[in-house]
Amino acid sequence: MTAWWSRRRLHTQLAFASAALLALTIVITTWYNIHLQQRELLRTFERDAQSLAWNLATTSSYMVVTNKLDELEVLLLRSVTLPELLRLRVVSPGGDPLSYVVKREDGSIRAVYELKKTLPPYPSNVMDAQITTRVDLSRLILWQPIRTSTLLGWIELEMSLGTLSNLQAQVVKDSTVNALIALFFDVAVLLLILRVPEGYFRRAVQFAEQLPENPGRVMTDRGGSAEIGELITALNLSSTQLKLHEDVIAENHERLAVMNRTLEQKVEQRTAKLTTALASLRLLKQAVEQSPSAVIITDAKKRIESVNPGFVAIYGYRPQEVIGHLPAMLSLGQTPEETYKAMWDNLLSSGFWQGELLNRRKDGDKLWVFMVVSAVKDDRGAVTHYLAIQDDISERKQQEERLRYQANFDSLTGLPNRALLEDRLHQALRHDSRQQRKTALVYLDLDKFKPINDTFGHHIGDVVLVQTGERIRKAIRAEDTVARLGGDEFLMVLSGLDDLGALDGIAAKVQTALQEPFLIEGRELHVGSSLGIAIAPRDGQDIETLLSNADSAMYRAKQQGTNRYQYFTAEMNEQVTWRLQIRNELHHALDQNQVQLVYQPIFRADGRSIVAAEALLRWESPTLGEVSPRDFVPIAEESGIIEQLGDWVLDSACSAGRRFSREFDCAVSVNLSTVQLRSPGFAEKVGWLLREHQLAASHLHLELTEGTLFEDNEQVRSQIAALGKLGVPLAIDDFGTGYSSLSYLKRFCCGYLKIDPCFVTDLCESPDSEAIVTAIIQLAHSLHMEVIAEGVERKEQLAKLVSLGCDLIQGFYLAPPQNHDDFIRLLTARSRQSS
Amino acid sequence: MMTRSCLQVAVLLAGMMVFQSSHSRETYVWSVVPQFTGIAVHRDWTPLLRYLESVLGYDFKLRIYDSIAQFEVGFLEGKPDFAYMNPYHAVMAHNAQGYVPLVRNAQRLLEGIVVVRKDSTVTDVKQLNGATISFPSPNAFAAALYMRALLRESEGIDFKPVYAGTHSNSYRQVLLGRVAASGAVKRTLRKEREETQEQLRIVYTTPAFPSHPLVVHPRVPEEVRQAVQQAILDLNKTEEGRAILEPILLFPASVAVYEADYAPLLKLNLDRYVVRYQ
Repeated sequence: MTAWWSRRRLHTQLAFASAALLALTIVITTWYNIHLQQRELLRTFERDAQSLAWNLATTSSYMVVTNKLDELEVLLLRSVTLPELLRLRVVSPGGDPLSYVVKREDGSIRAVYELKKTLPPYPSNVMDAQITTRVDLSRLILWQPIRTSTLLGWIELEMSLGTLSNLQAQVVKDSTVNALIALFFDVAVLLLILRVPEGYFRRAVQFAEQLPENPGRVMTDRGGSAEIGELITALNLSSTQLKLHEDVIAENHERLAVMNRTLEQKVEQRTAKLTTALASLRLLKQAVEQSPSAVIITDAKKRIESVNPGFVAIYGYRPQEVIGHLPAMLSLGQTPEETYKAMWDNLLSSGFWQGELLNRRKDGDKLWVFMVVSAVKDDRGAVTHYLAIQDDISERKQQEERLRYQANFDSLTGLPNRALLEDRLHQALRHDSRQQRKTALVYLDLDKFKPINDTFGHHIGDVVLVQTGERIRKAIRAEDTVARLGGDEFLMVLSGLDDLGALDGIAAKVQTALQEPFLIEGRELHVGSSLGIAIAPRDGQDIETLLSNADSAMYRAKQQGTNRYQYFTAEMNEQVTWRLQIRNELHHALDQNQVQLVYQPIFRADGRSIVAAEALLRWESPTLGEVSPRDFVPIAEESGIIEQLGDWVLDSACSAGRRFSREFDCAVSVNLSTVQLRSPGFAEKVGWLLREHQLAASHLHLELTEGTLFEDNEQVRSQIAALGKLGVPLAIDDFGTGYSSLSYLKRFCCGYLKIDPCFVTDLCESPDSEAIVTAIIQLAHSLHMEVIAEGVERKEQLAKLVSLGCDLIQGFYLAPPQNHDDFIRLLTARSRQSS
Repeated sequence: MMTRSCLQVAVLLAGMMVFQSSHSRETYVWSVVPQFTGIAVHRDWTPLLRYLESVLGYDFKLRIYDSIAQFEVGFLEGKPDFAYMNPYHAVMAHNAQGYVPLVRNAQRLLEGIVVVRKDSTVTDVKQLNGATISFPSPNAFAAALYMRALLRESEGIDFKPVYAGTHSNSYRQVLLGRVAASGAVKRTLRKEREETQEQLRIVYTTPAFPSHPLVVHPRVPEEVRQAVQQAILDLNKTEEGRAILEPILLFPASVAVYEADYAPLLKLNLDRYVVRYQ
């Protein structure tokens, strides 16, 4: 506290002392004031209470005498409403209650009916005098006798002195405000008076502080008071003496400084030279340290002297593990001896070599490096060190390897791809032709692979392909090559053949291997294979021809059924040419009006009425002559022309069908290809054509094969369902030759079944055929379908079919297919007959 | 000239007469049985009288009695023109002066009660045998007259009656332990302060009778009687009227008929319990 006080400024100290004194005075005055006021107020209160009590006593005396307790209660209830009164009680001289009212804290007033006796707490000799007591500072109780000539009773009155304490609080508040105002003015006046001398004092202090820097300067102020004036004079004297001392020191200092400068210049020049050299060295060291390349320095005897962090990062050796050893410790031992020899030769002759080395890391991993090595020689030309810089090129090497593999191998099966196969075939052809031997190229295509892929997914299909590759490789000889062309197609090159008979054995071995079931993810899957074989030099001497011919042979094998193999023949060559011609010509067939529709009538079994005509497509090519649909439809399907062709057929048939149906109530029946049903808007297209030609849906029959219905394709199924919704009756063509599944018959709500002509042909001769036809008819009828028999050519066949209950008949016996006009004539003639 | 002077005097005289009559209206005296303190009676009845003055053009003066005894002497001597009194008073007034009832409360029935302090041990009125019982006045009908007859004759108890002058005072005699019980009527109890009602307990109730009528002295002209009767009945119809009638316990007001409403009291044979002040 003392320390704090002594650190304060003079005016602060004075302000505090003065304020404290003043505050003390005010407190004492206020306290005395309150005390006086309180005494005076209390006297006033007591006088008021006594006067009120006396009044009440006078007023109530009559009521007490007459025992009018109700009126007494009313008097007390009224009186107690005075703000300071807390309760009023009237008792008899003996203390029995006469009336008692109290004011509650919430201000409400209540009458209280107590029976207990209450008397003033005083001796009996003062019983008729007015008695006042102060219970505490807040309450006052007064007992007032009620008397006429005798004592009638007492009034007890309790009063609150709350107003008194309020008044006290007000006095304290007022005094505090006054005190604060007085304090403020006291401090303000004090500060005002002290301002001038204090200003001088502060300047003198400032002057003294700055004296060391400004010796000899003097202060001209005289100060606001005598003490400060004396202080300024003393300071001025000190300043003059200080100036004299400083001048002497400065002279000596100047002399020393000149000598110093000369020395410093010499040192600076020397330092600059050293710094430049050091910086250059540091830069070089840093370059080596931070280089990602491995840097190895050996002595003249090729022992490693130092390595950089790049070396540690690449090889994994710590410097102390290699220093003192020969670099040969880093070799994997697979770099050819010639490489090392070339390196040393070059180093000796030119002092420089660069090349690739196969080394190994500390962990034993293979490491490809590109190394530049040079000999370091001293002034006399003697080798002192060898400096080698190596870069890790392992990644680049791996990438090269990967690219080489991808270019030549199939990524799924790991078998050679077509490029590598062509390379091998090329080598085999060259080798075998020199040796007068034969080379065979075998084209293999898996049968029934697509359903596996569609049903079980590509991952299963892929496993089948991988296992197929393995089985084929095991089945053929070690020197032969098998490659995957893509999809489910494989090629084999069998070289160095003397005896063609061996080929049969190999082909059979491959097919047998693939006929074994594939067990994948707990499923047993079956595929087959079709093989086509072309032999050089007989079937071609170049790769293109051999591939094409093997493909044709495979195609033929596939046509013959599953698990067949076929050698290429000249006749096949012709067929290939024929198919190619058809494909080329087909492109112009529509544009040049080479196609037309003919109509074969379908009769009721009684032969009386024609219910429909099947529209059949005819193509007359100017170069190929008449081409059967059996030949060109598959090619049209393969090449995609089928869509245009199908649209034309539907459009033409609907156009003709309009007349048939309007004039003769005859429907037109059109064959559909699966390819057409695979296109998404097909049913819409049919709907549009029906509207366009104003043909009733019931008069357009659409014929589908069982294969189409069985197609596991959501698109096809939804199109068939949409056609059903249009109300177009569906007929199943060639029924009995395919799957003949009952479930799809039910699912697609077909209207007609067409019995395949092969059953009709030998109907009269073969009991089997008869049994099948009978079954088909019964089946159809039970499903509310009608049966059409196709290819009826003889009277007996017709009679048999009628006896079996067949509904409709189509065939040459009743009518051959005929062109539009002829058919109209037929219809007209029949309608005339019937009318 | 002479004729002209006479005419002037006559006109002047006539004018004076008119002036006088308009300023000295008929004045009728009203009294109210002092069941409550005089201040309460004045407070509750003045609005009705001021109202009747304003609509009927008569002056009504309220005469307040300190006690029921004085009130009885007053009406037996035929002092009030209009008086509000208990049913048996109505019978006494009818017999003495020929007062006839005008209106009474249509619903409120008069029920006499005996009350004791809430903390009293008395639960049955029979326990009051030999006790001191306070009554408003000897002839207060339900509270004292009929009550005394019933207590003595039906309940067979003996007691010492004291008379407090008003119902309010009678209740306070009980509350302050001066007497064991008090005779009173239900409706005066309901008018007491809440804390006062809370401290009292009813131990006995008499059968109900038509409540207090407003009666009129036969000297009051018929048209004045009817005007007053109608004016009071009209008060039933408005909110303001209800506010006037409720404090004097006349809402809803209805016509009172002596023979039907009050003559049957004669049959109770209460005459020997009547105390006469002469």
